[in-house]
Amino acid sequence: MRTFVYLIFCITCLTGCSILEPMFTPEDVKPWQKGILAKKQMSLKGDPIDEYVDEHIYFSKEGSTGGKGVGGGGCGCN
Amino acid sequence: MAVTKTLKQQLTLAAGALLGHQAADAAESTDASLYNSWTVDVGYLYYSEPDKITVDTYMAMISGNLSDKDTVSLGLVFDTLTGSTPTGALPDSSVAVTGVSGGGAGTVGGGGATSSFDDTRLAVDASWGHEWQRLVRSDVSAYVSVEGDYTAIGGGLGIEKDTEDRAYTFTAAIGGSVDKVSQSNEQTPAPLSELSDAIYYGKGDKNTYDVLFGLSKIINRRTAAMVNITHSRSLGYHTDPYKVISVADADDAEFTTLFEKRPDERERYVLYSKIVHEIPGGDDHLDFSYRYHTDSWDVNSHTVEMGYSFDVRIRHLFKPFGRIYYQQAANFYQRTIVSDDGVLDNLPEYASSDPRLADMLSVTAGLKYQYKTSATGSIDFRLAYIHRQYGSAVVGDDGTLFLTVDLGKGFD
Repeated sequence: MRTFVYLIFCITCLTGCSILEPMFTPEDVKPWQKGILAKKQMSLKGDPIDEYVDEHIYFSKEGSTGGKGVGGGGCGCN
Repeated sequence: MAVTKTLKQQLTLAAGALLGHQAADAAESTDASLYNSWTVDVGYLYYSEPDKITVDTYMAMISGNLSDKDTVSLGLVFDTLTGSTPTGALPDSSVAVTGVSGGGAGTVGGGGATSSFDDTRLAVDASWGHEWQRLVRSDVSAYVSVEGDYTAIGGGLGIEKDTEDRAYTFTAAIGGSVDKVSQSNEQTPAPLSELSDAIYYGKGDKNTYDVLFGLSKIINRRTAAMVNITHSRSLGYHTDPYKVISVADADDAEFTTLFEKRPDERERYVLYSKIVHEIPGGDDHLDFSYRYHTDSWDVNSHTVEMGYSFDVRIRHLFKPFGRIYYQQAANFYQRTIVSDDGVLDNLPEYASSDPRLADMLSVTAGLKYQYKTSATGSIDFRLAYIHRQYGSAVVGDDGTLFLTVDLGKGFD
C-alpha cells in the first residue's frame, strides 16, 4: 500500500513539474506568436456569463467579495 | 498604331479602375466586418437550496465593436426569488419576521429560523471601451439594479496602458455605488431593538468607493497572468433589515429576539491573482486563481479556483472546475447573545448571527459542457454543487445545486 501511495505521489510530482515548467518559462512573444493567447479559453476575464453567475451566487452567500473589478455587487440578495 | 495604343491604354485604365474598385470594396468589406463584430449571449440560471431559496435568473448580454477604437456591451438580468431565508434566530425560535418581500412570517422547516419571501430583481448594465492611443484604453461602466427592498446604482472608470512590446498591461480603476436598503415596506428596524418594540426608521443608505490597481503579463506564448489589488470603503447602512439574533441562555433557551446591528463602515483590501495556460502539444487549457480578502470586520478569506478544459472531437468541450473558499467570522458575529436571565442591560455594540458572517468553508465542484454549433456559436451547460460548512451558526451545513444554460453566437 505504501509503495502504491509513493508511486502515486511520484507520478503527481512529475506531472505537476511537466505542467509547471513550460507554464513559467519566460519568453519574448512577438505579435505573430499570440494566436494561442487570443483563444477564448485564454481570456483572463473568463466567460462573461460564468463570471456573472459565480459573482452573483458567491456575493449572496459569503462574507467577502470583490477583486476582479470595481463598482459593487448590486443586490441585497437573501 | 496610334489607335491601338490608345485602345490598350484605355483597356489598361479600365482594368486598373475595376481592380482598384474591387480592392476598395474588399478593404471596405474587411473594415465593416472588423468594426461590426458582435457577440450575443442569452443565459438561464437555476439555483436551488433544498427547503430554502429557489432562484430563476434570465440573462442577456451583447457586446461588439462600434469602430476600430470603440467597443460597447450591454447586459440585462431578471431574477425571480422564492422560498425562505434564514432569519438568524435559533431553530426553535417563535419569532416571526415580517416585511420580507412578498412574503412575511411564514416559516419553512419549523420555528422562526426562516421566513418566506418572494421577490423579483431587474438589473441593467452598460460599458464603453475606447482606445485613445495605440497603447492606452479606457473603460466606462454603469449599472442599475432594482428589487422590492433594494436599489443599487453604480459605475466605474478604468484606464489600461500596455508597454511598447505589449508584454505588460497596467490597469487603474475607480468605482462607486449608491445603495438604498430597506424591508419591502420601505422601513428599517431599529438596530438591537426587540421585534415587539416595532421601532422602525426610513430607508438605509450605503455608499461604496473602490480603487483598483492591476498588472497583467504575457509570460510566454502559452501563458498569461494577472494580479489586482483593490481597496474598497463603504459607509452607511450595512445591517440586513431582515436579520435577527436570539437572546438565549447557554442551553439555547430563547428569551427574546433582537434585530441585528452591523458597523456603519467597512474597509476592505483584496488581492486577486489568476493564471491561464495552454498545455503544450494539445488544446487543453488550465486556469487557476487565488484571492485573499481582509477587511475592518476581520472577515479574512482565502479563495482558490481552478478549471481544466479539453476538447473532444472538435465540437465538444468539457471543463471540470472547482473552488475552495474559507472565511473567518466577523468580529461582531455571535451565534446568539448569551444571557443568564434575558435582561437586556449589557448588549454588545454590534451583533449579527447571519451565517454569511460566520466561520465558513465552502467547496464547489462542477462541470461545464460546451457544444460548438458553428464556428462562432455554442451552447453551454454548467452544473455545479456547492457545499457550505459553518463553524458555529444557527443553521446547519447546507448544499446548493445550480445549473446554467448559455446560448452564445458571434456575428461578423
